[in-house]
Amino acid sequence: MNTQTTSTAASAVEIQGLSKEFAGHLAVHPLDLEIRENEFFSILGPSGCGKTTLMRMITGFETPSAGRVLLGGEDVTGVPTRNRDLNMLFQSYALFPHLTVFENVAFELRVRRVAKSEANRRTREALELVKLGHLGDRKPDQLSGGQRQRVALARAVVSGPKVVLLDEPLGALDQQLRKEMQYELKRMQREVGITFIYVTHDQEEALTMSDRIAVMSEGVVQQVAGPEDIYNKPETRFVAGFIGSCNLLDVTVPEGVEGDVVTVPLDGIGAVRGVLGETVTHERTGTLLLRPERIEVHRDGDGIEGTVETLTFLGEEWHLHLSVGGRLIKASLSSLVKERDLPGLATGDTLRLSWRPQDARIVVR
Amino acid sequence: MTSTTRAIQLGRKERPKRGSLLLLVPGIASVVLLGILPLFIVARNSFAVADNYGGITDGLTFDNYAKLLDPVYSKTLFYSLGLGVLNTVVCLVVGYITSYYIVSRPPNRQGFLLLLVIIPFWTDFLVRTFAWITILGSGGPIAGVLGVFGVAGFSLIPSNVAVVLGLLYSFLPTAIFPIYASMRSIDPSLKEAATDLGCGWWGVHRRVILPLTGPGILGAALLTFIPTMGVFVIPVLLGGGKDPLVGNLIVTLYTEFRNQPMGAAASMVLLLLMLISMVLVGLGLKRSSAKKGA
Repeated sequence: MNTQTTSTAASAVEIQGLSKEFAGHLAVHPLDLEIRENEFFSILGPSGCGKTTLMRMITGFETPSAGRVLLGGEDVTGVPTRNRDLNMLFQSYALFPHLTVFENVAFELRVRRVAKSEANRRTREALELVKLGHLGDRKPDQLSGGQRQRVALARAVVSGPKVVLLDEPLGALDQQLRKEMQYELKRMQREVGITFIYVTHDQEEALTMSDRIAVMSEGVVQQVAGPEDIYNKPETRFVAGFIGSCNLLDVTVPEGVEGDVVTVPLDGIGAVRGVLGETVTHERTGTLLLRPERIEVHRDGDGIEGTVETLTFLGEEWHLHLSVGGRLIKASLSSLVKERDLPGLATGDTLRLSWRPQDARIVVR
Repeated sequence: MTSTTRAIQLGRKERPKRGSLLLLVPGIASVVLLGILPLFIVARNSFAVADNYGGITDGLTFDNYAKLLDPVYSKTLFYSLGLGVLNTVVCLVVGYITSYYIVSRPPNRQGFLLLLVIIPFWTDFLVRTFAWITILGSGGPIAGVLGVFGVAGFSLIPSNVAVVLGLLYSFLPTAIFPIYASMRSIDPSLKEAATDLGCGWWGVHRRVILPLTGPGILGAALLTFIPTMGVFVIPVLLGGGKDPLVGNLIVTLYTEFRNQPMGAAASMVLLLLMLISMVLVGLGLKRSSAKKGA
C-alpha cells in the first residue's frame, strides 16, 4: 500500500553488482538492488535461493565475491559488521541467556558506551515499544516465544540503526501468533521509522507486510515490486508460481504481433487473448499466467468449454479443477457467486471459462 | 484390571524392604570398606602418637597438627597452594584458548582434535613425565638447538619451570574437557549477535562467551586444582625434589620418616583444602545459576 514512495527518497541500502561464490557455485548472482529509507522491504524466496547469503553480505557476516554494499550512500563493503549502522534480528533470536531482558536490550548501548542514564532511558523506551516494559528483570528462558521475539526486536532497534534485517523471525511461532506479529512488526516499523529488510520464504508474510518485495530464485532476483504488482503482474513464470496459485500454460507468441493485447494459439484449446509482459520479446516461447480467481465460469455464454473434474469447498471460496482440451485448469469462485449463479454445481458439469485479456499475462518461460 | 492395579500397589507400597536392602549390600560394603573406613583410620591416626619403630600407639593429641605449623612443613603447604593456583590459572587460560579453537572448527574436525587431546591423557603418567625429562634435559632437542648457537650445558631439569610445564601438560586435558563441553553448547548466533551489536573480538569473549562458559571453567578449576595439590611424581622428577608438594610431604612422612600420625595429619589437611575449594566452587556455581534463573 505504500508503494508510492516518492522517487526523491534516499536509499538506505544500495547493492551494486554483488555476488557470492561458494566453491565454484554461484549462491548469489551479480545483482543490483536499492532499498529505500523507511521502507519495509522483503526478500522472498524458497530455501536455498540465496536470500540468506544476500542478507549476510549486507550485515557483513559474509564477504562478497564481487560488488559493493552501500549503507546510506557510504561504501561499507570492507567495513566489519560491528561498525555497520545496522542490526539483525536472528531467526533463533540469539538472546543472551545470561543477561536479563533489560540487559539484553541495553547491550549495544553499553558496548558503545552510551551514558548510563541515557542508555537506561532508551532501553525502557524500546521495551515500551514492544510492550514488555514490565518484564525487564526476566531471563530469556522465562519468556514465551512471542515475547523473546519482541525482546530481540527491541534489542535490534534500541540504538536507532539505519537498517534492521530480520531473518525469518516468525518461523518459530505458531500460526495465530504469526498473524498477530505480522501486524505488530509493521506497526513497530512505522513507529520507529527504520528501514526493515525482511527475509522470508513465506509469501503471505511478504505480501501482508512489505512496501516492496524482491523475489529470489536460484541466486537471481526475479522481480522487485510492490505486493500488488508482484501478485498481479508477475514478470517471470517463477514469480507467478511461487506467489499464490496460478495456471501456467506454455504458449508460442506468433511473429509480428503488435500492441499489448495479443491472441496466441494454445494447443488443444484454441486462440486465447492475453497481454504481453514487459520482458517478452516476440517470437519466443512463453508462459501464459492466469490466476484461478481471475477466471469467470458460467453455465453458458462465450468462452472455452471445460468439464468440472474436482470441486473443493474451502469456506470463503470453492476451488475447481476443470478439464479443458486435455489440460487441467484451476479456477476459484467465491461461495457467494457459486450460490447465486451456479446452484447445484457438480463434478462432470460442463462450464464456460472466460477472462479479461489483461488478466492473462504472457511472460518468458 | 484389578490384578494389575494390585500389582502396581504392591510395587509401590508393599515392596519387600529386606530384599532391596540386600541388593544395596555390595555398594554399601565397598563404600564403607574402601572409602569411609580407611578415611576414618587416617583421621584417627592423625591424632595418635607415633612409637619409635614406625608403628602407632594409642593416645589423643593435637601435636601432629601443631607440628605441621612448623615452617619446614607449612612452607610446603603454602608452596603447594601457590603452585596449585598457578597451575590452575595457566591450565584455564590455555584450556580456554584451546577449547575455543576446537569449538570454532567444523564438527567433523572437532572429534579429531579432541582425540589429539585425549591420547596423551591415556598414556601413563610416569611415561609422560619421563618424556619431558628427555625434551627439556641436557640431551634433548632444546639443548641441541641451543648447542648449535654455542650455548652449552643447557638443561631445564631440574627446575621450577620444568615442574610448571609438566603440571600444565598433565592437567590440560582435564581443563579442556569441561570448558569445551560448556562452550560447545553456546548457540553460534550469539557470537554473531554480539558482533552485530558492536562487540570486537575481546568484547565477544568478555561479554558473551566467557560468562556462558563460566560453569565449565569452574568445573575445570576444581578438576585441576585439587589433583595438583596431591601430585608427587612431577616435583621429584622434573623439579629435583627441592620444593616438595603436599603429596611429596605425605609420601616422605609415611615412608622415609615412618611417622604415620604426621603423614595422616598432612593428609587430613590436604583433604580439608580440597573440601574448602570444592565448597568455594559449589558456591560459585550456585551463584551463577541463581543469576541465570533470577
